[in-house]
Amino acid sequence: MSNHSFILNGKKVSVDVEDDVRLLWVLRDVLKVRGPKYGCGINECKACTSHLNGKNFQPCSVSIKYIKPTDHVTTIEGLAATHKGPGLHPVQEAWIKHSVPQCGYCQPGQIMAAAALIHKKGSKKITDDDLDGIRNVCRCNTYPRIREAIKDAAKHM
Amino acid sequence: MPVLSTSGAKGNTYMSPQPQTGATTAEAGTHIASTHEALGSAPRSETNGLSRRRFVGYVMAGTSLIVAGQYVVDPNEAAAARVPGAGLANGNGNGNKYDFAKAATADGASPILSNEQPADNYDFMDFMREQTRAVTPLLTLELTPEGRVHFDMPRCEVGQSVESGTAQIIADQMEIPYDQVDITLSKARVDLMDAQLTGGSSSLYSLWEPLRELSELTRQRLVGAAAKSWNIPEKQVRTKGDGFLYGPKGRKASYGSMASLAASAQDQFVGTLLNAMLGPPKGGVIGKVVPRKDIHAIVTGQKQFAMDLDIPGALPTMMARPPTFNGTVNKVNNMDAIKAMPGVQDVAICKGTHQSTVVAVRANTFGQCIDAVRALQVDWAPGATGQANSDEMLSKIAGVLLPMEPALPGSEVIENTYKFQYRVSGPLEPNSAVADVREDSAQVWAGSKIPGTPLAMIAEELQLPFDKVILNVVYGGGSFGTMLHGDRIMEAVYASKAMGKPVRLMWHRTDQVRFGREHPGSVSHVRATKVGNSITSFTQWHASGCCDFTHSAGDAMTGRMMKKDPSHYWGNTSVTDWFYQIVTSVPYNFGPTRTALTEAFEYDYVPTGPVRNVYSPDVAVARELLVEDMADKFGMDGYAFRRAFAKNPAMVAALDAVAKRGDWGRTMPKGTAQAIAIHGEYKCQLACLMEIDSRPRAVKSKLKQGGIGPRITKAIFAGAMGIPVNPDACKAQFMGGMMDGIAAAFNEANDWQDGLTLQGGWDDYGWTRQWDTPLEWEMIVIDDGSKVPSGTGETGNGAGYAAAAIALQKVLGKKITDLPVYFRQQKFTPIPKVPSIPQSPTRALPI
Repeated sequence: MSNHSFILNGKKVSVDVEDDVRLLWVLRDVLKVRGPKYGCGINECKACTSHLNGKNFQPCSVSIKYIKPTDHVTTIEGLAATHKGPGLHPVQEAWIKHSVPQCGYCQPGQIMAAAALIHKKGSKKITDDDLDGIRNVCRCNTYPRIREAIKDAAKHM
Repeated sequence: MPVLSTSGAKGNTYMSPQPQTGATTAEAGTHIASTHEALGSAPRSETNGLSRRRFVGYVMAGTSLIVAGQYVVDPNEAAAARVPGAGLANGNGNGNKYDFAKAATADGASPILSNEQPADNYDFMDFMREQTRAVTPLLTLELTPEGRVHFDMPRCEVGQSVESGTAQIIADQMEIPYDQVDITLSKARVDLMDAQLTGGSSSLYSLWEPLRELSELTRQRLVGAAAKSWNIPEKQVRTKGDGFLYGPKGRKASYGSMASLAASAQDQFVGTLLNAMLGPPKGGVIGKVVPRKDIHAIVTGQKQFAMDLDIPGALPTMMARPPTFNGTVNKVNNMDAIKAMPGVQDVAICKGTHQSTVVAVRANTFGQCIDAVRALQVDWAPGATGQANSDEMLSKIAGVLLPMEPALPGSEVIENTYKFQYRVSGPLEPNSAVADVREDSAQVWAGSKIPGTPLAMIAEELQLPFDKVILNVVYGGGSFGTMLHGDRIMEAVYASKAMGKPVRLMWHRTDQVRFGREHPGSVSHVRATKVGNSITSFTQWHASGCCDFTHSAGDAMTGRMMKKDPSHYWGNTSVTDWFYQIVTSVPYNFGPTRTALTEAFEYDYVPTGPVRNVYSPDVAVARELLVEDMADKFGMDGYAFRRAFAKNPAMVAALDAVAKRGDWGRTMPKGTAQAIAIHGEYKCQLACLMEIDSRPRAVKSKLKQGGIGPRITKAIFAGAMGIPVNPDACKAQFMGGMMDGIAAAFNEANDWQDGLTLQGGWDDYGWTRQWDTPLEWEMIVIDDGSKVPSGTGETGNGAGYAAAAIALQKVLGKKITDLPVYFRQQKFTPIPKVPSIPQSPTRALPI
């Protein structure tokens, strides 16, 4: 058991937990941050997708000991604050506009993956290959609407 | 107790059909004005069978306005006629008026009208409608002085949008904004018997009338209260859909401001609506695209599933499971060492699902549960399932096919047998439940689509009376059949009981694939006979691995009785044979038509259950593939043949719509193809056109460890679905079902070997990803004239699966009889069976 600290959604947090506990459980079980979901724990479904220093990553597959005190972890709860202006993030707005979710279990991860993709592409157009490359599983099969929402959100970012 | 009036013929206790002016006039404002004026009238064909029924209303005691009601049969009405065209209005009948001969013979076909099948006139949705009608007196609708409407809904929201749909139904009839209606998920209620079942695409259909009656009753009470308050006749009070009451001379009052006046200090009967026919929806909210009630919570990560709840003391709990299904614990060899592991609080042997026993670990974090499960050294004993494997199971299933009768001499026989593998239900949220079992009470939080059965099972297991057991129903992260069964609930109860502490139980993904509910494998023998330009008979014998229906319909008795039948077979198969008959219909005029189900294995041989669309996806695929062969014999293409023989005009309209929109019949580049298929069920008639691309560019663009085979590039659905309560939500359900079908046609399957499946994750299982998604997708709504909503949750699966299978058949240039087409063609290293769950990677940092 040792102390680990990092910056979560803009605020410094500190936990006492064993070194090898994966970050997803630190978030969900210790810090009670429940936005990132568990879908497999083996880095396949990407339901837990969050951002580490602005990039997509899967906290289910990272031990807390590899997270540094200066690392910025952003979960779905902190996404809106990363966007200039009040209200929701453009990706969240697009998700509502295009009626994307059904059960909603995968959507925090989908939204984080989409936001990172759009950010990474910058001014370059988002192609079908880009969209095909999003590995996040959706069992309800909302995939077609996710594609529409991402293309729309990109216009506003 | 409500005051009931008796009147009419001697001795009878039925309500008079006249508005009650005498019985309760002591309370001013209880008289209900003429309903004709309030409700308008509706032609009989829209009654949905309610011509002999009246709805009687009550106001329950309270400071808010709380209404209840019930249906009664009116003996004074002339004998209820068979509603003409009922089948047509319901979107499920033969459409006798459609000129089939004229339509068909133009193409050189002479269809012989088929006999109706049971499902054409009465299907599972109608069964649920009846169950819900019967318990309507036990449902209430509340309007608070703050203007909030509350309905405690006896259904589970799992993504299918029933929560939002019921809010729309209420808002439309009550004439209040959608945003003012709050829906909660009802706890398990023993008194609701078989009416607290979410499934069979039946929720909106079964709640349609009761909710509209109760909403109209609420509105009328408010009208009465406003009239009394303004001292004017009721007919001068108007509602306009915005949650306000309007009177002459600019009078205006919010619904909330009238709630207390409309309420009652004691339970009170308030008379009958003239008849239970409310006519078509008012159109203010029904038929509109509105945002899901939970959408803001979803996109901000606030929506709570079972594992997101904070129940005091409930710590993460996972199970170590046997290496073969139904295995049991002989001995745990290192109990003390496990208990000493970091974070571990409790370890206990307890019952698992089906016939197994498992080792439960309760720890501070789920990660530490995984570590402990993996470190456990257990001597396992094999169970009754032994070394079950897919090949043997499919072979035994084929062995229970009914024999096909010989064809009449002079007939040309078109026949084939199709084989389908086992497939998981696999919602993304794995089985999750919180349980707190105490000495004299128990409380559970879990998603559940039939909560009555596990409630009774808990009571029996813990030897507690029903009123000491609370089962709170929570949002589900998808269900697809899994939540019909109480596996998660019972395991959480067993663990909490064994440990004497609250548990927050979650299954690992690998648990979910290997021990979670599956769609059984099946073998379908389909045969048509042809004489001249007619199909002269159609027979489909469908043999399936046993589908576990022991969840029953939810009353406290039936499920437990089914489970206790000593054969573990006959009780279940009596239900499945019935279920098959009230959902299955052949959508063609093929002359004498029959179909039936037979099943192999005990209900708990392997973990099965009614997965989305139950038997119908495989039944539809087998049928539609044989229809392709039939079309060949007629020298017609798939669209022309289906159009000539389809028995429902709404289906013909759907076919025409997809063919037109998809430019059917145009010259397709080599390596691509078009496919068309139809499926009708749950009062939906659906046609699906797909285009497929197997050219190297489409296939090679797939990413590493991506999907296998060609890509469906386009999918167009058209369908009649009665009234789409929210067209967007209906389309979403068809879209989801369509892609279920792509998964099942291409790659999705569990491969049982040596008593457990090889699959254990998402990548090895072959579920859809973005790279499988059609680049063009469209849904066209066909109006079938029905004034009630059809069931949209499942039918898209049958239609999409069939179209995808036909698309593959065309582009691969070979007859397809085994599905999924790419079964056993994906190379992967199976996740080990011991320990039962894999470890998580440690350092998957972004590059």
